[in-house]
Amino acid sequence: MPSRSPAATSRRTVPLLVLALVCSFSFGAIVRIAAADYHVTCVGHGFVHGGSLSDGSFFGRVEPGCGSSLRNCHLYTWGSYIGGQTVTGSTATCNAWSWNFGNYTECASTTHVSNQGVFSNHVHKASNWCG
Amino acid sequence: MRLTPAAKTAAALVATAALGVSAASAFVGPSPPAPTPQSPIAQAGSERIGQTAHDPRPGLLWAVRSYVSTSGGSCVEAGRLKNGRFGQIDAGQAFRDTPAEQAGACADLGKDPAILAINHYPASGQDAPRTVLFGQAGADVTDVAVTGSSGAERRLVKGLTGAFILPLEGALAPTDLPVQITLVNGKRLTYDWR
Repeated sequence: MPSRSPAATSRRTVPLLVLALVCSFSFGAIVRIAAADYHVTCVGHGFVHGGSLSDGSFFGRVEPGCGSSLRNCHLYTWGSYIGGQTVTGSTATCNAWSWNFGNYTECASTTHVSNQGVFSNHVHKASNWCG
Repeated sequence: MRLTPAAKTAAALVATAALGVSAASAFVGPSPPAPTPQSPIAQAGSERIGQTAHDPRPGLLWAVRSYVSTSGGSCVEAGRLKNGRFGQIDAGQAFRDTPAEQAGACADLGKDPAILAINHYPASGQDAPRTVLFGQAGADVTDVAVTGSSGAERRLVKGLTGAFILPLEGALAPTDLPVQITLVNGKRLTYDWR
């Protein structure tokens, strides 16, 4: 059986390691961004806690900017829709507040936000997620 | 103990993957905040209760509360009115006072002629769903009207603060409620929520 030379092994291993580095970096970056409950994709948006993490007061929020004029922020608790808001106008902030719709478990809540032409509908969870 | 070449390669791959994830965690994160974020936090003492409207069913009046935010924006909230107090009701119809804090839909009325917002209230318990269109017109606006699904135009009454509110029964899509705004100079703008 022919034996592999160290040079041949190295020729195969180095590209493999580079590929692993690129893939793992991409994976880490995606997870890191997805884990943030309020972040900026051109405009700030996401899940905002009110006075505390457990008082039932929380917001789905999308700030204005980036040329968009239509924003949606909807709230869910235990996966069920509890209410939401739509705003239009170049400087309008979408700001759906849980207390507008009742009294709900904060840690089991999410906001679904979208900003036309900037980012599509996606979910942000409470930072102390228990759902 | 001597490692085989395959084991060495596998170990190197695991170490490289760990390095990649660690590097991403260190270098990638939420982008810095926008340079001039619009704060929805209320300036103390700036709140005013504006226009009121009847609910489609018997119950507490709806009202708009306006306030100025700490960043100078104009903000409006839709809520219910009980004995002159602004608040919200829950699924059990219990009223709760809500002080003006940071719950408004805000905009810059120096740039936009009006704040236009729709709150969506799904059915809850015995309560039917509601769609509440509300907002605040700037000083240059003479008229605000909504065209319903029947095609009929409905003019909204502006309160002293320029605020208006229209509670409707049912879960309506924003596109069912196009808003026409008429400016002092006669120009007419249509907001079709698209």
